[in-house]
Amino acid sequence: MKKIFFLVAAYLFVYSCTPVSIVDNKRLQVTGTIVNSEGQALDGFDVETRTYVGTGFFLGSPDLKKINGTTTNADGKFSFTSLDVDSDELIVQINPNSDSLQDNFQSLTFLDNRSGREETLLDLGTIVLKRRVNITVVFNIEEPFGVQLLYPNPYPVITINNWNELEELPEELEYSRFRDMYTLVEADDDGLYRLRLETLENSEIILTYGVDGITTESTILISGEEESPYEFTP
Amino acid sequence: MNLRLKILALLLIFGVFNSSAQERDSIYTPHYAGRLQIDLGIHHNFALGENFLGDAYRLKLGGEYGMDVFVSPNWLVGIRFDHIGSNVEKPEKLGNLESTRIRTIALNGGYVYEVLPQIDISLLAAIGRASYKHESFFHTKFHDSALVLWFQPKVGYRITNNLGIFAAGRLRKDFMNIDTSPELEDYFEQSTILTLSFGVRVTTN
Repeated sequence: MKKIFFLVAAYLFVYSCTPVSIVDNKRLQVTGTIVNSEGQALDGFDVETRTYVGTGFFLGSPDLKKINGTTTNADGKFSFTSLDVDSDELIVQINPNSDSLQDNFQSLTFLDNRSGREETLLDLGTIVLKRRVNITVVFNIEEPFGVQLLYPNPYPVITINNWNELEELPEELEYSRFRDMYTLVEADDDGLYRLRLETLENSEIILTYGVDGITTESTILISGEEESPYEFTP
Repeated sequence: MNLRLKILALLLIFGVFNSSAQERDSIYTPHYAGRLQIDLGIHHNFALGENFLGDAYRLKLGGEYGMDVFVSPNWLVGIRFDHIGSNVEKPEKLGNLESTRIRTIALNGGYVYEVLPQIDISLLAAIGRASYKHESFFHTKFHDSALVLWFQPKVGYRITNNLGIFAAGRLRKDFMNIDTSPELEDYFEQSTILTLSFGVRVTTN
């Protein structure tokens, strides 16, 4: 009995001390180009492969760690070699949300949680990174007001099933590209009803709300340049 | 230098000179079928070419040991074990590695020509399998495997009938089994290693 207990304990210990399983005899190439909304190359932007480390029994909660990475050149191009991970999530992050984040641009995450992926070339093609904008919407109302919001997420996570079909991703169907939330707009200390959001330039916020039992949908267009609050009257 | 290699080198030197003093008057019997020969050596390695090994590594001292049997007075076959250490100089070009050791097992064979009773020259070839044992920055171990071919001219000098030394050069080609993108294939496809070695040789009577 003691022997079985020892063997089980030893197996758990060894298993827990192997935080990431790296695929033998394999190297990935991650490549692509990053441009802004105007099509201009973005220089000096970080691109990294990452995975969760520390999922073992003794190692506590997982931590997202860099595998390898590079920065874009003057043409916005990047290419680097990465190890592949097996039975773990392989994540490619563009402008990762870290100390090096180019803070006026969005961060983009591609998530591949398939085991035994066959691709060796992860060609991300041309990626358009948009600027992030913080906006304030002032509601012309006199009491708390419930509203459903749908707007572009500055930190989307896009799940990948095939890296070779990346350009065919239907953007409008990619749920993770948007934030869809219900919120109650309440008065600030000064008595004004405000909502603060972080979204992307040249986008729109779709508000759905009910007035007198009728559901209404309105759109606020965000240019990304204006800093003055948007006013909205339901 | 690796501590184990230092100890091996000291043992080799001590063994050679000690035996030399004891058996200076031995008779050198010619090689014959069935004779066994054991080589223990250390080697210095140079990675050649514009491939991952030549570009991203600096190879360190290595060690080899093996045993051969003469199948005729001039032909021998045997087995070789080989170890090469390395410093990873450009980890980012390899996918981010912390360390790599190359271990090889190979079948060895060749022609031996006795120039003088105590001096022979051999031309050897080998085929084997190498395992590039890596450790990632997550301290996870993984490996790349390779088919290995090498060609090795070797000079042996017998100090006594049973004990001698050898020096050799070796040109080795590793055909890697790494699955990667077409653009990186040239970089990871193969590696070439030039090796200069010396060591001690024990032969049976």
